Amino acid sequence: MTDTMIDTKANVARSGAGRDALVVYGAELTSRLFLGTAQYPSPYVLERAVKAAGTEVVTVSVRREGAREKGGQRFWEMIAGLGVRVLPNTAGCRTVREAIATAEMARELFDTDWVKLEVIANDDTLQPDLFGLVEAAGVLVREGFKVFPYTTEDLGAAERLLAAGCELLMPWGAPIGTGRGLANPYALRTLRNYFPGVPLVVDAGIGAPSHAAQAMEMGFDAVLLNTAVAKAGDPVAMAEAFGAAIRAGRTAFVAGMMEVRDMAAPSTPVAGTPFFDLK
Amino acid sequence: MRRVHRSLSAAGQELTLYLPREAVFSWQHERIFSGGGSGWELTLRMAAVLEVVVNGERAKTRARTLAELLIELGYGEAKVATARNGDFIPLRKRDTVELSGGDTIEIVSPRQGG
Repeated sequence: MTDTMIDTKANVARSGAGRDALVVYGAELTSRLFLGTAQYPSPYVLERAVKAAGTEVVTVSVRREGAREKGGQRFWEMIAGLGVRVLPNTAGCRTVREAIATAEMARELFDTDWVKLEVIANDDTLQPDLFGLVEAAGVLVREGFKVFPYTTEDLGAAERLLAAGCELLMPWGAPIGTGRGLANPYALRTLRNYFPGVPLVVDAGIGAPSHAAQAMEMGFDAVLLNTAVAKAGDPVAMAEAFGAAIRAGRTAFVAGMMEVRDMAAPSTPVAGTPFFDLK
Repeated sequence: MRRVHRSLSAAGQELTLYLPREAVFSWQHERIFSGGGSGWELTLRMAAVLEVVVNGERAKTRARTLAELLIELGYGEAKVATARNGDFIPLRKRDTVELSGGDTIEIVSPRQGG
């Protein structure tokens, strides 16, 4: 818990006086919720969810387009109308080469050098292929991309990604789409404490607002999620719930949480307790 | 390139070409046949028909460049990005990138993502 206190100072110092903004690649973000745009019941629900969450960054992808479909164009117009930053992903890429070509296509389509870099190791866990990730990150940084690497809690991989030129890291909470929350809080806490000055975004596996709040209380800088909102009974209300939970978790972290104890300690003053000396 | 079978009638009035069913050409062909002293001349032009793979599906095309392929397939001014044989081809290079038989082409557009 002492480590958390140190982080608090680092975060407040970074955020500047009076404002608690997150700065990633020079962009100042007020919202610490990055929202995915997939799996919503309709584009209209997505649009309202983005607004309800107050999010400033949404993730998008590139996919094969048939000649007669105009889905891509319509989707792009809708996203452009939201006035938020787009973070294209390389979801589904299994090799460094695929990820690089996908990032390049996304940069041209979305006119941004931001990329959420995913190199996937296997289909069951969708876990990052850390070796491919580090290699692809190096290539993309040299090509001028601002890389947001989807990684694990692995400290060695984290160091190599930073050495490759990534200015932030996006460790997983749990495998994509599972909604299990923070599967390995100890490892995440270690990562947080090991890199107190690096923006860390918990990406994937978040199922409930409490999971997101937990990540923020631990000192993570932001949370990226998609399915938990998109697949909720009421995605718009859930987006609002996540926005509130993330603000609460962030405020709690900056406020500095009490230390956890093993034994009870009375909160009401002991001195003056009636009947105290009567046995 | 596969072998092209052809025969010309003695009178020079009929031309029969026997092409393999799956004939695939990798460049533009132009052949001129003439009847010599009898005065006839026939120019035969065969547009190159390439077999390529577009978004995972086989397609035959007469396009020479990636830009022509997009027009031929009906993408027009659609907001798409392209790759050939796994490498990104930027918009400005689509005019100059010439296609070859067997090329794999990816044509993608903005889509929802997590």
